[in-house]
Amino acid sequence: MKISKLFALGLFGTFLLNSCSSDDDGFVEVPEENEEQAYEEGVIILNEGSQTEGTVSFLDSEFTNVENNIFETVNPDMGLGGYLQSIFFDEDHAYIISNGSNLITVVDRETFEYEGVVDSGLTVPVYGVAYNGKAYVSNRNLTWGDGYTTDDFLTVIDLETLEVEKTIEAGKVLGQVFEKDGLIYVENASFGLGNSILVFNPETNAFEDTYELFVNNENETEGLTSIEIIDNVIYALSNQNLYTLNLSTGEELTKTDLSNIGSTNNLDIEDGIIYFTSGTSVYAITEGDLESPESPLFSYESTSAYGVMYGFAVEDDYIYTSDGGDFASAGTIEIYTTAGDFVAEFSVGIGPNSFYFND
Amino acid sequence: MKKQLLFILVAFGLFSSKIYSQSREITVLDTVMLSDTKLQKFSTGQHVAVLSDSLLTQNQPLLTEVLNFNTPIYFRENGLGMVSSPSFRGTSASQTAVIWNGININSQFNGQIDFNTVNSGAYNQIAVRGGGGSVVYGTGAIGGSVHLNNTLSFKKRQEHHLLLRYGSFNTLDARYNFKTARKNWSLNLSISRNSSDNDYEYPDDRGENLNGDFYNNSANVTLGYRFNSKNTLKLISEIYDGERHFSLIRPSENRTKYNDRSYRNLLEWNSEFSNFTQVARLAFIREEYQYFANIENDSFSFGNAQSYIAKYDLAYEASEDLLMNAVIQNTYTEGEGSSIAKNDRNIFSAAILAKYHFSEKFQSEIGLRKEATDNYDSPLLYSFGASYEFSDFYSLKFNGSRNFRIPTYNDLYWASSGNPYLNPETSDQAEIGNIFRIKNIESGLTFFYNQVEDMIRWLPGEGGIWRPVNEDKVEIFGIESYLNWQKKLAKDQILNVNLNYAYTISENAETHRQLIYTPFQKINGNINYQIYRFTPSLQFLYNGKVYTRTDHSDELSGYFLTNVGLSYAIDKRRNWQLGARINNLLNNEYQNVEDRWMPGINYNLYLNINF
Repeated sequence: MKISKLFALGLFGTFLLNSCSSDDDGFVEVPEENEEQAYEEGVIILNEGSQTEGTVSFLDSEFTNVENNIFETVNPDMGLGGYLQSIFFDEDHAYIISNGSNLITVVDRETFEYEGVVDSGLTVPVYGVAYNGKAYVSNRNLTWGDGYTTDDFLTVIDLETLEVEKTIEAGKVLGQVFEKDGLIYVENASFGLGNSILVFNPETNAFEDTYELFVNNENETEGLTSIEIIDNVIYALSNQNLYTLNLSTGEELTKTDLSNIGSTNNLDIEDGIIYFTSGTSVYAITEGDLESPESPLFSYESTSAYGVMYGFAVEDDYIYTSDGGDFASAGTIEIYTTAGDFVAEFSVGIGPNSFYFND
Repeated sequence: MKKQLLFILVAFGLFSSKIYSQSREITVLDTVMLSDTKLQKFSTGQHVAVLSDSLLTQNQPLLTEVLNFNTPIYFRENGLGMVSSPSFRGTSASQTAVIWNGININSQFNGQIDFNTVNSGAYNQIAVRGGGGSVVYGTGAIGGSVHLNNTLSFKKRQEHHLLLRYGSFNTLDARYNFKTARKNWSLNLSISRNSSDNDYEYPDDRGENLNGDFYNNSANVTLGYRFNSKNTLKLISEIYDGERHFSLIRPSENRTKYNDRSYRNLLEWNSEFSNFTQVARLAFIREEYQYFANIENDSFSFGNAQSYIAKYDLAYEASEDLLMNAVIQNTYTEGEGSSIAKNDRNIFSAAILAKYHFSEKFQSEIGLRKEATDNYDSPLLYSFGASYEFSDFYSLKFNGSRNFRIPTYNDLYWASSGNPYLNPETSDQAEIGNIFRIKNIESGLTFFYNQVEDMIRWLPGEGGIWRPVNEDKVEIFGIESYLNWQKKLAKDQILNVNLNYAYTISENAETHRQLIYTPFQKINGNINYQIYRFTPSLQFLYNGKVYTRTDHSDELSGYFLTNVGLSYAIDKRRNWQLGARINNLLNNEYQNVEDRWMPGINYNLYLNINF
């Protein structure tokens, strides 16, 4: 640990030195580098870690440099915990979820200064959303049924006190959490197993509705992989189909068969284009024309023989992919334009699994 | 006088020439019957180190600790008493075979033995052999093999032996051993318990080792009946029951625990007729584990596997110089687990071995083995070895072999990720050993080379699901060396020194980078100095740095540990001893797995009595 910190500091130092010595025309323009907002603009990359703790990397918005271990740099002698699963945000804060250590670490989203931690009442927390001074976080309960998937629960956390104030059992597996128009939508799926979306009402602190997408008959293996909510429509991607649902009724609007591609995953919708991945390829279709695409936008070009879309995001004009490599050394991220042209590649921490954007 | 010295040596557990003796010297115990006779007869060109029961008494009972301080094997330990896996000559955790009374007991699930689930108090002898051994011992004997033996003797006697040890962190080690023999019956009973709160402080106020408590109990019965001088029936039966809470890195983590139980039974009939010796064996081995991912819940995941083994071994002494041996074995295994549907597999194997003495100083052996199973493609395995004694001062040894590690139940059948098309990992290796002897000093220097192909690795595949594939190729070379010195300095004063040094390069053949958690250097040693009734002792260990990332971007630094002990003979005649020991005397901070701190200075007291 000590060594990686030193290494990171060394890298950071080199970067500072380089940026200082590049200007030698006499009129050295000292940048108004406000230390407080070091991470104001750019891409936050979450590295889940493996045997050891996870870390956060930061890529500046010009794509010139990645700074690794930013939390440890800003907050010496502190760590974020094991297996960092995801980050959720409110206006000023980032909430970093460690499912290996049952922690949610609160930092200033622009400086990454430590502000507090939720360290009790959680059991393998996975995803969360902040709404109205509370956080709604999905947890695994680790009761062994058919896998650890039977009695997950949602915790309601007071973001002032950082205490868990309520725990609501769902009786089924929970995944990603979204908020839309005062209701919380929770994916009933994990590791590609699951078939519905649960609607949770923060007023009553109860699950009020279930939108079931499909039912597997024997030998069928359809599983929900990811969802997105745009306006009044839920987009739900399974490993075989793309569904659109009416947000308030759960009624199915469309169903697009993607089985010609198969193993579809990582739904992300940006500027009217629906992006998703399959294996090492990225596909795109427009919201208005829900036909299965015949060919990928681009295929993942990696020197790693087992390159996998471990993390995927589309933001503005760029597509971000990450590769876990062997999970025992630095992972890599790659950036492409939305046209599929390669832009840049960087080495980050161990097991990069998700991207978030500060602007 | 001489007789007295020998007595003292035995009595005070200083029978150290046995600690690192050559294979042929194991037969010193000629009245003692071992089931694992192959270790004596077919280790030509290899080095076998034998840890006597008196040495086992001096150490804590967890096999990790015993071997860590007495052999070149490196251990990755997730905190004291937690999951511990070996790296023997730079190989992976499933490439060390653990042999229980001649039977391979590596787990059907992951191909390994967790060395913190073996209580060394259950055995009379532990032997360690470096290098390949799949021809005789089957899967996993790539880096080397560890042999857990129970002995039997028909010499008339009745002995009780009791060891009680208590120390820091409420750690208890209790062992009772009863040996009796009358006429044609012999019984050897061992019962041991080891438990600890294991709540040591981490260095530099990093906190306390939470949820690290464990206990284990084991009982072993070895019963023999001799029909006549040429026919013996033997039954060895063992049960092990352990519970460990896995320690936390951070207090907010889920508290987990792991229960494991094993049953090992062996029925063996030895008979001799004319120039033949035959051994027929039936064995039943069962392993069970339960993992509680959250001890607040009663729910757990589990795995159970049982193997039925029938083995027939026929040896023929064709002449005084030629020994031929055929072994056939059938192993039927059925296993199931939370994530593994019930599966069975049958493996039939046949091996032939031959040993030839060209002269008293020059001997050689060869062996071949082939397995028949529809579970994987089985390669032809072979071994050959030779040794030549040039003089009293110098002997030269050579051994070469092809070995394998078969795919495990997890590799093949893990729900939705197992890969039924895996092949065994294979290893081709060779070693040259040099033995030097001057008076009371014996020293060995072995050069080894090992090429492992088709290493099974779990890698993320499509959809983020990890699957095992035959992927890596690893190249290993290095040296192992030892020095044993025993000297009587004056009347009632004996000095005894054992040292080991190993240098290992074990690298991924593609990237040429040293494998993670594999140190280049390991040094350990034991020094005892017996003065009258007192025996001060010093034990030390140095593990060199290990990389923790495959790109070598991070590492754990090396560490040095020192233990000191002092024992006092309360009753010399009956060998009653009172002893005390300080572990990690220098209070060095160390970890051998990242974020898993080990304890600082700690203490224990022990009492060893015989009646």
